[in-house]
This record gives sequence, C-alpha cells and structure tokens, in this order.
Amino acid sequence: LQSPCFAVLARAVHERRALLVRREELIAPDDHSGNGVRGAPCDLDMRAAVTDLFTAPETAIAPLAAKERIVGLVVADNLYSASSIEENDIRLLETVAQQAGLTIDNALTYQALHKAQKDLLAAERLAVIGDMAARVSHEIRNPLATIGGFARGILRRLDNPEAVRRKINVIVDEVSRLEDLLGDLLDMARPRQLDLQPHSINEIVEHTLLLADADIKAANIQVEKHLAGDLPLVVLDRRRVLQALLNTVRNGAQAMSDGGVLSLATRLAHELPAAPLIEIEVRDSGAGISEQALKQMFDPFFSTKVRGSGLGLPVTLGIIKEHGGEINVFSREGGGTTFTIRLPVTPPPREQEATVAPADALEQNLLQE
Amino acid sequence: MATDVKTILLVDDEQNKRALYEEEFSDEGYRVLTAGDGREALKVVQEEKPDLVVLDVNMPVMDGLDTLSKMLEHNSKMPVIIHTAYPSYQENFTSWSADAYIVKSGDLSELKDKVKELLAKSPTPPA
Repeated sequence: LQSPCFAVLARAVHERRALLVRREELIAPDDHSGNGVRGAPCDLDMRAAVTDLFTAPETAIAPLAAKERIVGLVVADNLYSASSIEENDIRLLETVAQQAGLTIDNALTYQALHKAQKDLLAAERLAVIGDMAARVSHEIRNPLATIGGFARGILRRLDNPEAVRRKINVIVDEVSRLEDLLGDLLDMARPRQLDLQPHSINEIVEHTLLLADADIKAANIQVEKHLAGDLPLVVLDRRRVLQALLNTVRNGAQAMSDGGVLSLATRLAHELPAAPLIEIEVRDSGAGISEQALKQMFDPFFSTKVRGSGLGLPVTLGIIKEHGGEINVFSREGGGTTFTIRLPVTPPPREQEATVAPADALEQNLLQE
Repeated sequence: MATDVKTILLVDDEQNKRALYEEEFSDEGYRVLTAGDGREALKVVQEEKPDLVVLDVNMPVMDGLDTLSKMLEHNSKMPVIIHTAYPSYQENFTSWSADAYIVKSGDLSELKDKVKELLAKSPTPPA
C-alpha cells in the first residue's frame, strides 16, 4: 500500500474512494520518481509482477477501510472478457470493499482484545505468584530465623548441656513446622488425579476422629457423633477426603483449646432426588469466627492461629471442590462454628478449569508456570 | 532505677522467638521483657517504661504497625525497631516512624548492634 511504485494506488488511499483507471494510469510510476511515501524505494520486482498481472485495458480500485485506517486495496479487472467496467460495477466493488473493511476491522479489534486479555492474565498470574512467593518466603524466614538464632546460641555456649538441650528442642520443633508447611504447599500444588472409589462416609469420619485423637485429648474435648445409619456409598478419593475432614476437625479442636464439644453428623440430603448429596457437619463450641475472618478464611496463608500455615482450609476447600462438593461455614463470635460439607454421592464428570476456588486458582497458576 | 541496666521489650507472637530473644539479650546484659501481641506490648510499655522496643509486624490481636503508632502517641522519644520477616513493610509509611527496620535473620548481630547503637544515642528516660 505504501508502495511508491504506483501513483494511482496512493491516490485511491488518499481519496478513500473507488477509482476506475486505464492501464496506462495504473502502471504509471509515482510522480516523485521512486521516492515514495515514507521514503521507501519502489520494489522493482513487485512493480514488474503487478504490471504483468494487470494487463486488461481498465482496472477498478477500491480501498478497504477499517474505520479510519485503510488496511488494503481491492484491485479488479475483466481480464478474460476484456469488457469495459461500468459505473455499477464500480459501486458494487466499493460496497463489497466497505463490507470487507468492516469485517477486517472487527477481526483486528478482536485480535487486539485477545492479546490484551492474554497480557492481563499473564500479569495477573505474575501478581499471584509474586504474592505467593512473598508469603511463602515469610513463612520460611520466620522458622529459619529461630533455628539460626538458637544454633548460633548453642555454638557460643556449649558448656551448659541443659541449655543446649533446650535450644535443640526448639530447633527440632521449628524444623517440623517447616516440614508441615512444605507438606501443605505440596498438597496445594499436587496435580489432581483423584483415585475415585465407593467408600462409606461414616467409616471415613470415624477414621478422621482416630487420626485427630491427640488434638482432641490434648484440648480436653468431648466428641458427639450423630452418624446416619443407611447412607449410600460415596464415590470419592478416600485419602483426599480424609485429609479434608481431618483439617476441618483439627480446626474445630484448635478453636477449643480450653475444652468444649465437637459434634460430627452425617446425613443424606435429598434436594434433588436425581443427584443425592451427603452432608457432613462438623460443629465446635469454640470462640467462633469474626465476620472479617470468615471472609478470608479460605484464602491461602490467611491464619488467625499463631502456628497455622494458613493453608489448611484452602486445601480442604480445594479437595471438596474437586469432588463437586461445597463447604458452608456458619459462625458467630462466641457461639461456635459449624462447617457443613456437602458431597455428591457420585461426583460429576471432571470439568477442566470450571469453578475456580482460591486454592485452585493458585494451584493452577503454579502448575502452568 | 539505680543501675544503668537497660530494659528492652521484645514483641513477637511466636513463643520460640521470645525464648530466643530472652536468652540472647539477657546474655548481652539487658533486662528483657517480652510480649506476644500488640495490646500486651502497649500494656508493658505503660507499666514498665522500657528503654527500647523491638516490634514484630505480623501478629494477631493488634499488628506491629498499629502498635507502633499507639506507642509513639504514648512516648514519642522511645526508640522502636521494626523486626519482621517481611521486607515489604518498609514501603508502609507507618514503619518510617520507627528508628530502624530490620529483616529477621538467623543471625541476631544486626539487631543487637542496632539496639546498642540506639540505646547509646537515647537519653535515659525519667524513671
């Protein structure tokens, strides 16, 4: 288009309208003798090719306008019939070129939009990863600072075995905290291939209580069970659901460090007879959760606990969502907290990148990088 | 106080960190007080009038930056060191009113040097 080889093409662009030209006019070189628009020299090969291509006595030229911009030209002739081009033909060509210009404009806009969206997603992903990296490094820096501090203390004062023992105990404690953190992080980033088998929910609840026994006894907590008798087997990944339940139960136990009642219930919920749900309720009589904390409790790294990694509930939510289920939390400050987990008896077919929970979003971002 | 033993308050929500500071700074000859959150720290500041405070930022109940503002309302002369695992709080202008900003590390010598330096500068507060 910017080719300086043909003056008449530049004219069509300039006048933004269809032109009818004779061959002599078409192939006439630019008046400015080869010093074309933007100073580009005429490509002689191209000039020769076009001259060879358009040999009919008359040629019609119509600009392709995408809004303000001319993005191309339509050049047409009646080479084989060699008949002359009528005014009607010119108008028709102009109309077609206008439509084509609009279509091209739409395509260009779409392309630009698509690129902008991709850029935005990339920036967002970087922001999530940056945020994640900052939080993880803090979670690691804290125990490391304690470990380093005590280790240096030991080196300086090796003479007191009792003090050395005390310091080493702290180091061991902090190392296991780091290990827990890594375990939680890996759980979040694990590629999700569920091992789906039919299992009894009540059996999983009992097993969870067994695993949480130490926490429950340590806090002097009384456990109440209301497990429905004739529940259907649920198709699930036992290890993952066990982990989700354990996180929830431990969470409840930690909310009652001075004792209390932890109540677990299972039941069948028949809202849609075709798609029965199992409900698992975990209720504690602890301090309850503030409204502010309720909003953030499933965000990765949000924790109100001194020793929490802030990954327990996001991991739990991720697991339940993987199974096509949901978690509802009801809490009042001072009035305890109830977690209600609902799982479909048969999980729906996996949908890639459907409903993205905070944990899932993070996980996907990590996996994609 | 008759002696010139300086009292420092170290605020951190982690039990093990407080134990560490207690050991290390007692060894350096300071009288060491600790607090587990901002509210507790404010109480100690009012009751014990420490010569210097080392303040963690990320804490439950009241975070370090809120605590810092309230402490300085109470006594703007008292030196305060922000001591956190996050380098990013430096961008928060509240942290600028602290006398120093130190990122937590396994090596406490930077913190110890800064404590010594600030205490040498500051006059002994009225008892």
